[in-house]
Amino acid sequence: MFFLDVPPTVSDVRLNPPGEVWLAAEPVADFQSWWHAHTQNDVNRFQLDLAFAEKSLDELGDLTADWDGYGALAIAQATLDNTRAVIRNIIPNVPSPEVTPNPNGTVTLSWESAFGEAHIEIGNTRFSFFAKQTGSRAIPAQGKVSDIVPTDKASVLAGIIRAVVYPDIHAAQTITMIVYAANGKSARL
Amino acid sequence: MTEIPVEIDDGETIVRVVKTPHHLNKGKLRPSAFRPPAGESCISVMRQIMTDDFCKNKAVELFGAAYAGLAVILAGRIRSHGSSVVDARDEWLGHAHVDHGFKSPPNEPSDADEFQRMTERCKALANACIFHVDPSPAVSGWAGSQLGIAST
Repeated sequence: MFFLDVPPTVSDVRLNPPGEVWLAAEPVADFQSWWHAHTQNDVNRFQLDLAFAEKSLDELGDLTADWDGYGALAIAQATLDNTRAVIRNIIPNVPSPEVTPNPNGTVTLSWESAFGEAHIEIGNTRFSFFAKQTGSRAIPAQGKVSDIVPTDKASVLAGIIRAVVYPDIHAAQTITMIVYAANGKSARL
Repeated sequence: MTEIPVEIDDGETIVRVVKTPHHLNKGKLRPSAFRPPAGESCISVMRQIMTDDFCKNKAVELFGAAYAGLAVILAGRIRSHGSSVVDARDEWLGHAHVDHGFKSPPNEPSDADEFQRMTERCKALANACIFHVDPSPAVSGWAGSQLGIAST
């Protein structure tokens, strides 16, 4: 289980189970149609994205301590395994991320476009995430990596990434098990 | 040069040595180039006031000739984004610290708010930098275009 904070302007981001992410009252659902069209016409895109991201990740496994010359920690196998699992669960729904090692031994996956940006930092056991539409407040989330590795949970993050960073290609994975808090500003996923 | 002021003026050029290609993407600096080591809030930088040749030679001394290049930014730009930059000559003359004021724990991310702060701070600094690839890393002294940034 992880927690997602929804900005107070709920009309900016609305999560309407099942299967829709709304941004600024614009639906960005219909993932199935989008995915169907793209995978039917460009069946290799997903495999290429996955291969590219995994190749980037493989290179990080070769980094030894002090790889940046300033005392960076090597990337632990647990972090590499976690990142690989997140990539495999997220990439079917979003393009390949930029994969960056961090000096504290974690890995950041980033997506950016003219519409916004999303970043997830992954460690040995935990992740932190934020997605931010240009000019808007960020949508943060954090928790245990094991809580977002199941495909349905990863799809929630993927749906947010797609809605924030790639709204032009209308897609959101099915969103399930969202429970709004009493104040309507946070959701338990 | 043996005497430089301790105070770092906003118009002074600050140099960050980039050793690894993992801090670059298609020739552009990644924000991670400005992330401090685990448990620390500071990153090491140099003062270009020591001269371009000093910065180049120090980079090779510390990181070897295979270093990627030098990123330069005005001290005032660093401060305008919320980080401090202070002299650290107790380690060696010309050394300085950029302090973001927050840390990353080892092998785990900070919480989401802190992660966002760190990412946005480092991204702003990376975007404000000019990155110079060393055209002649094996040669003593800096052979590239001048590192000093004219402050306006």
